[in-house]
Amino acid sequence: MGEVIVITSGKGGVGKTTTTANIGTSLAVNGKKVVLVDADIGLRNLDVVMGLENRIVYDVVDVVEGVCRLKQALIKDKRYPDLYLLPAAQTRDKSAVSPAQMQELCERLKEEFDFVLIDCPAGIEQGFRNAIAGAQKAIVVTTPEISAVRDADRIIGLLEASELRNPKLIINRVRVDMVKKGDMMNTEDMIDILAVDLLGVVPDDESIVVSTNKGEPAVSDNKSLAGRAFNNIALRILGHDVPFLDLEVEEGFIAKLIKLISKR
Amino acid sequence: MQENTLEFKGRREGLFAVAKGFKDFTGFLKEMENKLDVAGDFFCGACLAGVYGINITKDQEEVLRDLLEDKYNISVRNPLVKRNNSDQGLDMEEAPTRFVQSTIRSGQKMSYHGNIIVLGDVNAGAEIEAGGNIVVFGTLRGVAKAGTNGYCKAFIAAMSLRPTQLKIGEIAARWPENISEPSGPETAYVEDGKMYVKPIFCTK
Repeated sequence: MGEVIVITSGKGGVGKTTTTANIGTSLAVNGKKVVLVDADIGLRNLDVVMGLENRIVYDVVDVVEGVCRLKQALIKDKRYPDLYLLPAAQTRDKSAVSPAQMQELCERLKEEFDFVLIDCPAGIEQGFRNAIAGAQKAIVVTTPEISAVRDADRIIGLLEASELRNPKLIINRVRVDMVKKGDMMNTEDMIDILAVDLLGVVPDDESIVVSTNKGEPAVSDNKSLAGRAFNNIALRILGHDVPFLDLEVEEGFIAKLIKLISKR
Repeated sequence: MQENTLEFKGRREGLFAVAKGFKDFTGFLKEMENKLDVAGDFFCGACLAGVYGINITKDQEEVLRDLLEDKYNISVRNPLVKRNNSDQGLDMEEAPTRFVQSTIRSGQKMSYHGNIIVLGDVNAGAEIEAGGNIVVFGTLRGVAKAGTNGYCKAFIAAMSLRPTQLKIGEIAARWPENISEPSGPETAYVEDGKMYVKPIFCTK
């Protein structure tokens, strides 16, 4: 029996889809059978980020309405054999699926997969209700902005009201240089406000933009710092005790030189 | 044996007569006359909005109305606000208390007619509303309203007090910007129509 995890944030644009794609890929690389479910009906993105857009024939609404079998709608990833995608419908809207139907769908998926990752749409309306309906665990993604943290707080409250207790937090797009200067909220402040466990901190990384546009998750790129951060998050989900990344590796030449000299 | 007392409280809506210990209406009316005679024309032109602490029937209300309007030139609001419990809304020191054993998050609202004690934080975007006092065993970042029934002796205390807004009785205040973070537990209260914040433990 697998585990159903919803990835949510409240606010849009904080990196839910990127997080879903990367964690899912990393879990699959680590030998787990994974399915990514795009719950953002009408505004689907996960297929694009995964580079699987052109393979979509059936979608989640077709499955729920009985137009096709579940197996027919599942798209096998082109790189990893144990990774699947259940795409959202683009021509419908959130009301095409009900929370009860999502719950039933998740029950069926978790019989076959080790991990069912649900990419939740932004907002707190029906799309959100659908996405969390079948989930057993929740991951809340936020960025170090006061508005994103506010929305994350709201979401955590709603999750707790729906019996999804102790969600885990991912802080995305952290810029260490700005945090150091005091121009960006630091991790401690955010955990202090949200009072939940930290699952990982992901640095702001240009390679994410590149990999997203190419449709190749950053975790497959060893040089990407964000990719390594997502890899570590996946390992933590698998129960490994991985220390948090030292995000200060990207130093300028001068800084490295000074460090080298001062060490002597 | 409790002493019979009658007090007048002024609020935005008008005067409130708060009675304690009266067994019947006659005694209450007599005390009221005594008080008003002593006060001279101090209450002249005022409006009695409510009577707390004694049961008054419709007929008795008319008697009271006639007396006040004819003899003392005090108008009596129609309908008159009546509560037979004098503690309600005006003395919350021993009011019932709701304990909240979790963090109140953005979008969540907690209302209670008595006191509220939160064992956790009240985050920005959350709201708590109490007829009595509010104590937060954590950080208060949201909006807190104490003494919502007009009880202006209410206080709002927190281990770390940095709310967006506070309201005590009828007095509302916005938290000042550019203020240094509190170093310890503080309490907010109203005195002479102004809201003040002071540390709970004075170290010096």
